[in-house]
Amino acid sequence: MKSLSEQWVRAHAIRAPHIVVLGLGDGDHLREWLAENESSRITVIETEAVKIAQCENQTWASSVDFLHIVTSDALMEHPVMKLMAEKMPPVLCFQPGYGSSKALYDEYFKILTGRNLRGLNYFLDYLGFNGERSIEVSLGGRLITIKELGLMIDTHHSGHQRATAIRVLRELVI
Amino acid sequence: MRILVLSLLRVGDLFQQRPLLKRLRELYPTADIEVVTNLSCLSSKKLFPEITAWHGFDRDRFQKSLGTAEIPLLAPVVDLENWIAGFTSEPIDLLLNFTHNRLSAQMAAMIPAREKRGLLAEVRGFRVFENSWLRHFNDRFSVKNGTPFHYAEALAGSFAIDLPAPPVSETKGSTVFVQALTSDQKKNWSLSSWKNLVDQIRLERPELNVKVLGAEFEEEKLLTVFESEDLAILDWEHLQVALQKSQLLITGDTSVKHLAASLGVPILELALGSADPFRTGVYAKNAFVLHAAVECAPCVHSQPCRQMSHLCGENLSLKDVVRTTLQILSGDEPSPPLNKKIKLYRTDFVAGAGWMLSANAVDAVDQAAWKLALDGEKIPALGSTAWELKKLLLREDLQVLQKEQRELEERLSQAESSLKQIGRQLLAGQHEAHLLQEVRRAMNSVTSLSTRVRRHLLDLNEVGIEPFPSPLHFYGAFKKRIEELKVRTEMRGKLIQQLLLGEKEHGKESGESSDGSLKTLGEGV
Repeated sequence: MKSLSEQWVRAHAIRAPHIVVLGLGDGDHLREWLAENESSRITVIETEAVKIAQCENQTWASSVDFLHIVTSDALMEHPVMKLMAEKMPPVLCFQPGYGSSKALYDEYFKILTGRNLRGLNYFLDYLGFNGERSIEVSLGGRLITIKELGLMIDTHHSGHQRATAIRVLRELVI
Repeated sequence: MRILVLSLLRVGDLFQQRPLLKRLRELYPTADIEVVTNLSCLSSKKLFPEITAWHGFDRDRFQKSLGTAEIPLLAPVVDLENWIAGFTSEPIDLLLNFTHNRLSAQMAAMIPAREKRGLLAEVRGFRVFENSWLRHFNDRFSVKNGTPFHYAEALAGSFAIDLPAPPVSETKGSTVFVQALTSDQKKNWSLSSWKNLVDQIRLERPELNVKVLGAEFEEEKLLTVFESEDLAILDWEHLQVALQKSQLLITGDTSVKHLAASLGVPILELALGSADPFRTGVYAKNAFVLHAAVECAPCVHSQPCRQMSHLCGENLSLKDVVRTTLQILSGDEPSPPLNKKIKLYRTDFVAGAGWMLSANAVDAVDQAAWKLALDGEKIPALGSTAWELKKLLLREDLQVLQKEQRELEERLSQAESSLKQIGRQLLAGQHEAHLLQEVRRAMNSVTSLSTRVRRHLLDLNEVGIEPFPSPLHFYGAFKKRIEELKVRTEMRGKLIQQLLLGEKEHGKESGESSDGSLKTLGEGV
């Protein structure tokens, strides 16, 4: 029977030179992922410092940047946001690492992928969309519409983290 | 000069666009003509010597990244921009969007070029109305019976590319090729039927070599009914060579069909499922089509068959296909199918009208009128078109044309009158829902009219059923469509007058009629 970490790696079969992972856990999933992506790099965001301390001396830790971030405000100020805007690496979630921090990690996910107002504003500012923008938020924060860009973003989809959450679709998808 | 063409559909569409690409090369002999296409189409690029360079777009990856939650929202856009930057460091003089969908429109907007033609995304929507052909293509091409034109001609008109007449199908060798599989199960005749057809041809014409075509990924499926020695598994280059030595290709609606058409290979198409031989049929002259004209045909391409069984395929009997095939191979004119639900068509090209299926004079005149109206003021061809068409006409044909013209003029007059009423209401600050209902009822009562007339009235009928945010919007849309109908109706009337005039002069000169052609004006007309 595959371990949780192996299952996680199978479920996240994304190949990229750099990924961001939310949740450190015991670090096994990072080790497994790096075993299949030897030349890649991981930035992991974790809310509990003790977990980082347990992992940062492991042999595989040389390919990992450990970030201890405890609030979404701190995330917005952290240089990792610039990394996200510059390289737009995939953001993967390690659910067992959530625990009581699930809501916070959900918020991190949306910021890092641009699926809420704060994150989206950051990306748009970085891409040079400055000045007045007509951004509307509706359905209790679920739907973001940016009229100037012709974008509609569904930030939430059936409660499943990995379900398709983009509603740019109507303008970009055939 | 650098010309960039966006062709982001499938390889069959690329083959249908081949006459346009060839003509572009003739018009711009020294230009770099480059094509942006999906990666899956690049395997066919050697068949296009007129193209200088190809840029392959990884549509699958792009589509997947849009739908993957873990990928940041704007990453696909940035990736697309970076990919475009990779081939646009040198300026592009002319961008032609042959694709006409949202993605291509976005891409066209993102690519810097001095001049852009075709569907283009702008801040407030899509720009499509730069010429009447493009508007026609946009509004009507995907509507059933919406356009009389073949895809190649409608597209060529949209880009002001004058196409030469399509090739005439001519026997080139002694091999009969069979293309049994298509990209869509609904378009497939059963493999067992294909097997029986091949066996029958071999029995009746043992001197012919019969081969079943397929790509590598189709081989396994074909081997479930055919022997390996029956098969010709070929890449595009070898396929083109093979087809140029063939006597006949019998095929479903596939990219192989379109390639063969461009080579002038004799073709018998079995048009099933979503195949629409009127719009995307064999673009050549003297090809044949067996079309299952069941009520649900043509069905929607991307959706599964909605019938309890494959009605169209079941109606296409082996007997009819064998008989038609053997008659074509013998050089005889094929007989009408025994099953009345199966229609047999011959492809044709009528000067002034364009490509047609089983050209008849009335359809040809109607199509020519459409073409003249869409070409607008820049064509001087009314007289020459009439000259070409009157060779086809019988007296009864002109009677039908005149009757339909009267019907069109009546409907146009009715629509203009309704428009005035609505306008008066709006100016008076009133609008009555029942008036709109009346207009809608009137526009929708078309059952007694011919298919040709209904096609002309399609826009007005749609106005009758579309929802509009306000009566003012309805008025604006209605007015625009009436204006377009007026142009077509007037052009049609002028063409009919030219035909009548031609016959009148012929009658005065000769005093007698030629066999079958329209006699002197006034006799029963």
